Amino acid sequence: MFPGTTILDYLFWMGMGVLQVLVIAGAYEWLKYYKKKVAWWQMAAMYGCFLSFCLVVAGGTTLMGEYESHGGYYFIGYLGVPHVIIMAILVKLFVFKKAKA
Amino acid sequence: MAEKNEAMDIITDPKNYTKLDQEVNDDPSVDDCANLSRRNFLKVGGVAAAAATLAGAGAAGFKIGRSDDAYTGYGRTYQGGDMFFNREPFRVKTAAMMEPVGKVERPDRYDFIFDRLKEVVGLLQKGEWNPGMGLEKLPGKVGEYYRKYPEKYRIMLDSLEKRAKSREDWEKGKHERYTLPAAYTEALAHGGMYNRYGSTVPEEPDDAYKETGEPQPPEKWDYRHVKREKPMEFKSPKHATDLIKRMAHLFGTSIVGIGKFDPRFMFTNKMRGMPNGGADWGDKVPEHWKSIIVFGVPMYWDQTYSAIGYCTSYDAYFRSRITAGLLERFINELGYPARAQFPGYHYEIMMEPYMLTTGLGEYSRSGMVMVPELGCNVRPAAVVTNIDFEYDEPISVKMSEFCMKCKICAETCPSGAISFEDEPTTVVRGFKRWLLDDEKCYSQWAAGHTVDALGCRVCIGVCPYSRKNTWIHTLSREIEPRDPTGLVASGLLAMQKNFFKYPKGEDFQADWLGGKEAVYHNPPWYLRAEEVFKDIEKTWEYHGMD
Repeated sequence: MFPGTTILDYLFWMGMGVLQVLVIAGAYEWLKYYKKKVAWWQMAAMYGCFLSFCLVVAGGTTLMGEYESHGGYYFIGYLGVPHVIIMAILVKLFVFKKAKA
Repeated sequence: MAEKNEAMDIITDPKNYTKLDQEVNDDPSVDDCANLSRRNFLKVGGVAAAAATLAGAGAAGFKIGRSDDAYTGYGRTYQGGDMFFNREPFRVKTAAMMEPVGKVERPDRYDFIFDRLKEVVGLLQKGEWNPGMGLEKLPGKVGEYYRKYPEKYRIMLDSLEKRAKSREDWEKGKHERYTLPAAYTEALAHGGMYNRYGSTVPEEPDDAYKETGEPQPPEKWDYRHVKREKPMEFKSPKHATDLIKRMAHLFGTSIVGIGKFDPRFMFTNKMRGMPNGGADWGDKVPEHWKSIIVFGVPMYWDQTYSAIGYCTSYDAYFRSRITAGLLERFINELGYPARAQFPGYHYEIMMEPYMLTTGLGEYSRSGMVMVPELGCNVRPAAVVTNIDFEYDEPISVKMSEFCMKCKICAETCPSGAISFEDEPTTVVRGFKRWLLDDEKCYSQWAAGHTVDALGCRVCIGVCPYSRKNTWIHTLSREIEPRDPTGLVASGLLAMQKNFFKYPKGEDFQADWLGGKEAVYHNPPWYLRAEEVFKDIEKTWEYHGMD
C-alpha cells in the first residue's frame, strides 16, 4: 500500500480493522433504530457479502494498478453486480422480512 | 465579558446536557441526526465506515497492483522467499510430457537454431556459400539439416533478409523511439555480458581456447579452480542440497532445483572449449557430470509487459549468468568440479528438460517452461558438478492442462510459431509435446524493432501465469492446482479471455511489415525517449494497454 515505508502499511491495516468495528456496531444501531431483530448468522451472512464485495473492488483496482484497466472494470462489473443483487436479497430476507401473522 | 446567550453559555448550560443512559428519540419519523449521541455516532459512523472500507479496499488494491513490490522474483531473493510456491504437495515421478513415447534421441548441435544460424552466417561471411548457390550447395551438416527441412530453409533466408533490413533501419536512426530500451539492452549485453569472444561472466571455455589455442576439455576446465587435494565431505546429500540452494539464492537467483544429470538432454557434437565448439565431440558424456543445479530469474516486469520493442532478454540473462559464475566458483572452492551452463549460447545441454526433472515447472504450449511463481517469465542457467545431492522430483500443478484450453500465446504470437493443437501430439526426440516452430519464431526476432533485432517475448508477456505477485494472482496460483474439478481453472480462463484485451498478433509486427509496432502494455516513462530527451518529436502512437 505504501511502498518504501516501514510503518504506514501497518497503520493503514489497523485503521481498516477499526473501521470494521464501526461497521458492525453501526449496523446493530440501525437495526435497533428500526426495531428489527436479525439473528447473528444472518448478520454474518450480510457482513460476509459486504466483505466479499470489498474484495471484488480491491481485485478490480489491483488489476487497474497493474495497468490492466480493461480487466479491472470488467472484474468489478461482472463480479460486483451479483454481489449487489445478493446483498439486496439478503437485506430483504433478513431485515425487511414480513412480520409473522 | 461574554454576553448572555453566547456560544459558551449554551454549551455550559446543564439544561442542554444529554445523559449517556438517556433514551433518545426512537421514532424513525423524527430526524435526530443532529443530536450527537453515542447512538447517532454509531449509526452515522457505521455507514461512513462501510464507505471508507470500500474506498480503502479499492485504494489498497490499486496501490498493491501498481507497486514495484509486486514484481515477482525480486526483493526477497537472499532468503529464497521468491520461491514461495510450496511444491512438495505436487511432487510426481514423471512430469507432464516427459514420459517417452518412442526412442529417445539426444539433440544435436544443429537442433539448436542459433548453432545453425551461426554456421550459415559464418559461411556467408567467409564467402564459401551464398543463397544464389541454392540449398543443394549449402555445405556441411547444416546443409544436411536444411535439406531435410526445406521449409525451414526458406524461412531462415527470409529471416536473414528481415534482420538486414532491421539493422539498416537502426543505422539510419529510424528507431528513435527505442533509444532508451536500446541503451538498457546494450548496457546489459556489452557492459556486462559479452567481450570480443562472446562472454565475460562467467569464464567461458571457448574464450580460453581461442586465446590459448589449447583445447579445454571438461576434465580440465571444470577443475580449473579446484585447489584442494580432496573435496570437502558433506555430512549428507541433504546438507549439500540445503547449502547449495541457499547459496544459489544468496548469489541472486529466484528459483532453484537440483537433479540428477541426464545425458538424454545433452547435445551431441557440442562441447565448449574444444575445436569448432566440439563439432567432433560425438556423444561422449564427461564422467564427473553427475548432478545439475538448475536456477533462474525473471526479466523485469515492466519490460516484459512492454514486449516487443521495449523488452530485453539480456536483463535476466545477465543476472542468471552471474549466479552461474558465482556458484561455479563456490563449488570449485569446496574442491568439486563445476561447469556453468548459461545464456545466451553457452550450453552443452537443453535447459527445459532439466527444469522439469528438477521440479521447477511444467512444459507450456509455447515450448517454454512455466514455473508457478513466474509463469513463463524465467531465464534459466545451471551448474553441472559431481556432488551427491538429495534430488528434487518433478511437479504437476496442472499448468500444462491449463495450456490445453488457453491458447492465448498461440493467438497472440506474431509469427504463428506456436501450435494451436488442443493436446500435444508431436513426437520430439521421443517425447510427445507441443512443438514451437523455432524457425518461424526466429523470423519474428529478426524483424523485431529491438536494437539487435533479436527477441520478441510476446508469448511470455501474455501468458496468464506470467503475472505479478499480487494477492489476486497468488490466490489463483494457490487455489487452481488444488481444485480437482477444474472449475477454478475454467473460471480463471474465462475471465482472462473475456476481461482482458490484447493487441492482435499482426499488430506487433514492424511498420514495414504492415504492423503497428504494438506492445502488449505501453512502456513505462523511463523507457520513453520523448519523456526525457530534447528534440524528440513523437511521431508514433502507443498501441498497448495502459
